[in-house]
Amino acid sequence: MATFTDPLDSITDPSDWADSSFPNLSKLDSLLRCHICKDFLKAPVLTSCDHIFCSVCIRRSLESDKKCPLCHEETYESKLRKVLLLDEISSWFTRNRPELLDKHRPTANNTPEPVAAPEPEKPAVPLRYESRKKRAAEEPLVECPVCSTFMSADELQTSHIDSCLANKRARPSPSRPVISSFFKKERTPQTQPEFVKKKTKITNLDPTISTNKLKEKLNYWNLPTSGTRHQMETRMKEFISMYNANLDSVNPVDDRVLINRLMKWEGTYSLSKTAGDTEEDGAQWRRKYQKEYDELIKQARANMNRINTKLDSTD
Amino acid sequence: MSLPKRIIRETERLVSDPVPGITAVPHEDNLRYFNVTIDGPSGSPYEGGKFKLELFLPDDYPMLAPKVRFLTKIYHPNIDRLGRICLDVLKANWSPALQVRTILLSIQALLSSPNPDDPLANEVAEEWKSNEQNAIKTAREWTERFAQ
Repeated sequence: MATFTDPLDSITDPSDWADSSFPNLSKLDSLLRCHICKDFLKAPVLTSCDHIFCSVCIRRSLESDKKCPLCHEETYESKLRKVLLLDEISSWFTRNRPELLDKHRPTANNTPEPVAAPEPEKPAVPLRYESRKKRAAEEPLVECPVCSTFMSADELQTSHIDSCLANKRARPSPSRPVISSFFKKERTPQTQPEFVKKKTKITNLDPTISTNKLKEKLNYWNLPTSGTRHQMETRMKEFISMYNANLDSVNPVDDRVLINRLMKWEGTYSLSKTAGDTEEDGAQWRRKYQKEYDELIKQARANMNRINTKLDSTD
Repeated sequence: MSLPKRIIRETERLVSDPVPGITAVPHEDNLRYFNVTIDGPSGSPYEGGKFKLELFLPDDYPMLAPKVRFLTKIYHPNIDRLGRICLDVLKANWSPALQVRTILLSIQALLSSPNPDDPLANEVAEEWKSNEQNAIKTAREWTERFAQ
């Protein structure tokens, strides 16, 4: 299945943990997934029946059916409430999952020996990282008050704190925790950036809207007005779902990013292809199976004749 | 045309971790089209049979249910002679939280427990209600004749 190799890298599944040294993580992995897209929750929202989905997924779903996908209870878009904490948890897990998976990789792949067979030290890897990795499972980690990196208390007291303080003024080490502590100071948890608060949700598309008004609307949001009425309607509807879902995210993106995603989404939808494609396929199909069709028609005619003659003779 | 991630994920799982007694293989030219086989459940008149089905994921999947049809002839009150299936989760009770895997399991379960009170093939359902022994016998015969 060569077609799958490319996107497969980005496809994750709870079963990825099955051969790890901590297979139970598959539970957490599946709990953090949306029941509609089966991917990690993005901008999760809570329905009036207490179920959680990605904002964009449940909005798309309610577009066609005003029922909760899990319990079939009546649910409305206006009742959806965002759950920012869960958004933070889910995006943390998504971000750290590859590293987490890597750290719980069975130590020896080819020997049946299970967990914690200590690997020979690799001199190429910085010693500090290596020792931290090894101890991670046993010791509770503490955070360095200067650079916010997590490590064992022992390591922090013996070597790290001095070097960290000495380096601090010159250049903080470029590791990820520094960036996250930077954000911590910038924004309080479970809060959206200011610019989101100024935006309001777009009301759902009135299906009786005139085509001209629809084009105006598309133009207003800088969306293409190409295609049939149905294509434009679908495009607008999807943009509304995406736009409104973006306002439920703890890390919302710019409208231009949304438009980009919308165009990508249209690519997965044969709607963007013209009807001509299918006609062409049909013609190709007819050419390819011309012989078989001819044979079938011949057989059918022969059968008809036989039945007719039979009928004639019985009459 | 690219495929939505969800379809790729489902396909990958169906191939790497198949449901016992069920296979689903995507068509090479159209990855939304699957060739499916379901083994007749043991204890049912379809036991020992291998039933072929076709399954198609429409553009709006998962907002719309997959389209599924039996290709193998089968004597069942909820499956008509064109192979169309009368099953709630394929119609009104479809939900995007369901998936190909769960749908195929439901169809397998439908083979174990025919429901003549909600029929699609009326004559079969009549036979099922009036003379169950005979209906089961016919189902068994059809399995031997068509589903091998």
